[in-house]
Amino acid sequence: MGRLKGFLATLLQQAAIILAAFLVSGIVLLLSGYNPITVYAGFVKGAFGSEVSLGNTLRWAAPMILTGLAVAVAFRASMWNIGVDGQLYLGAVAAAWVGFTLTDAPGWITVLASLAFGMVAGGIWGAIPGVLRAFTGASELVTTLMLNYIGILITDFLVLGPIRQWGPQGTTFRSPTIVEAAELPRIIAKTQANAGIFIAVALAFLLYFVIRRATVGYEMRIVGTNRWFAQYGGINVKKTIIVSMLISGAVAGLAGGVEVLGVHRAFVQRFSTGLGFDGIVVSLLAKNNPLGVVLSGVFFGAMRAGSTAVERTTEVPRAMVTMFEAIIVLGVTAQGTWALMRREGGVRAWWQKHGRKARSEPDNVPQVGR
Amino acid sequence: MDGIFDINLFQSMLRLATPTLLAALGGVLAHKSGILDISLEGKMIVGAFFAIAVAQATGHVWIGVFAGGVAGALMGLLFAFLVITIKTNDVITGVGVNILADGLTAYLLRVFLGSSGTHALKGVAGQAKVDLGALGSIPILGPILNDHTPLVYAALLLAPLIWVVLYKTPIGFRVRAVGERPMAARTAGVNVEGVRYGSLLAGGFLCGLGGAFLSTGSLSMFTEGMVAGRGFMAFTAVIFGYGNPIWVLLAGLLFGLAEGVGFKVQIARVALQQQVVEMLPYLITVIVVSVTAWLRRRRVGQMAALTE
Repeated sequence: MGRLKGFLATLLQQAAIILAAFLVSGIVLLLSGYNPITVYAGFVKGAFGSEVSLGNTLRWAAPMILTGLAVAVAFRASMWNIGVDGQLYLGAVAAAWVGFTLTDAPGWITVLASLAFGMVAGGIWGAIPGVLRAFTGASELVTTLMLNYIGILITDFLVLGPIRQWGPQGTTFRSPTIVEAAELPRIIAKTQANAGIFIAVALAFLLYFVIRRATVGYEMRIVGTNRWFAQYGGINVKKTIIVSMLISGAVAGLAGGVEVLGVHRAFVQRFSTGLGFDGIVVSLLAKNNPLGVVLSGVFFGAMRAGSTAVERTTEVPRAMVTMFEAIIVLGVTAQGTWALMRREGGVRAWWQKHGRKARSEPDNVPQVGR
Repeated sequence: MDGIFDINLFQSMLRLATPTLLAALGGVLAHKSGILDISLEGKMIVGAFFAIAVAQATGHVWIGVFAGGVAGALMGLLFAFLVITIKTNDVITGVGVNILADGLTAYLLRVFLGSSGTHALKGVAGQAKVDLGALGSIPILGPILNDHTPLVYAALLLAPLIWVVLYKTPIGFRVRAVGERPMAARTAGVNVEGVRYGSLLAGGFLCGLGGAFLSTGSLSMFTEGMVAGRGFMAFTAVIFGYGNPIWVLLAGLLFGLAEGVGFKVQIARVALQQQVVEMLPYLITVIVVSVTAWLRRRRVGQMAALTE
């Protein structure tokens, strides 16, 4: 019962952040000359209003859950993976390659092989920053981000050269189409919603149990909490860091594979519209809990579907959602302070300790938030 | 390889390094006052956008550049408020500010400039290049340093200037004290929060200038995603230099060189794929940050380096 109560409390807190984000975004909309109520109503309609809308929501929820999981897993070991897009792209290109090369195998083998190759590619790309962090101490903030751009450029190179099929359709290039056996089936007619959503949800549950019950999950959590303590307790900190980044990259690669097999059915140059960064926001809102990531991923999938629909009918740009996401991120981090305040005995007590007057006391240690 | 390493390369190196360099110098201020600031990218983005937007609105490119700096400073203010006063997590807040900058500029680009993806400055003169006159005829150094727009020179001069301010003036001393021993600084009566706010504001202004140079320096347009990780390269330059402006200057020039080589290779049509050379700046960043960290680890100890 206690756990349910805690879960509901968290749900309410996160809902409060979402509400605040809607309010601030609403003000921005108002200042730009739009009617927030109509816009938001359009969002809801575009996300849940019809079977097609629902399909769109699920179509976007799948990759967002997966990238969210990737970020969440890394974060369990206190590792920041902000290069998810690069891992996603490499996973996608690997999956696509298997998809159009393996022409004679039965469906399930082809799908499995494609996704597996995708996970391997993403996993390797994610492990590199992990290795660098473990052996040189290089900040993964920088390395994952740099490898992000490098990874994307690698796929550009591949799709413009070795695996190019058609010339530009518009301005993008694409690889050969995958064989039908490799396709992830569509689940809602006339939309791109596909079986990837089931994979995403299943993986969320799997990761939840791995993190909570399996040895490797335990090690990740301890390393994530206190690396000195982990080392003292006999955990191989280096190995754990690398493994967590490996899993994280593999999940990102899986996200890329799912997008290829389920939606595009080929590798399309630069197909990801910032899915990697969406994953960061999804995971933050879900407090890096894999099950929460499912809910959060569906929510942001709905936002994506809704805003795309709204952009078609009105002129409200999709960048609106990006700002909304930023407010959520800032809200989440402020929430961390809020929790800290409550632990220290309420806002008044916190202000007495940290406020203007207290700060001029000599032995008050000035801190920047952690 | 002949057509690549020539005077022209080093001339463009200065021009290409300037945005990252300006942002890195801004990052130095934050770093020296003890703040982990990864929102340099976001500040550059708003700087780039508002430079173009204001230049278009007022008809003067330099007013735009100044506006870009102000925009960066305002982002710095937001970041400072969250991290210093509300005491939020510095990394997440930095990520949030970056996302905000990205979304805000894309949104404003569409809603107020009416364009989707790119806005080229129309009917406004760009930045004029400076002719160094006699200095320009010095062999080798002359042509390299000549014929740049003013911000390039500003960036080059700011590095030693900031060095002097940080290490030879009372203000700089206070900044460094706040960064190294905030407790002692507080006891000595230094307003720690005020100093940090100041460095983030000034640093934000510089980042904004860096972004403004990117959009108005040679080309005159703003494109979504044009900053392309330069803010993070600037962050790396700061780490590489341990916050010392002179080392940061060198790192910035290195990144500019990498980018310049990339362009040269394209033009010379050497048989290296375009993407490979585009990767060069990012690869160098990875190497730089790994080597820097490894060197630090040897000083500080393995576990300490593993812990954040």
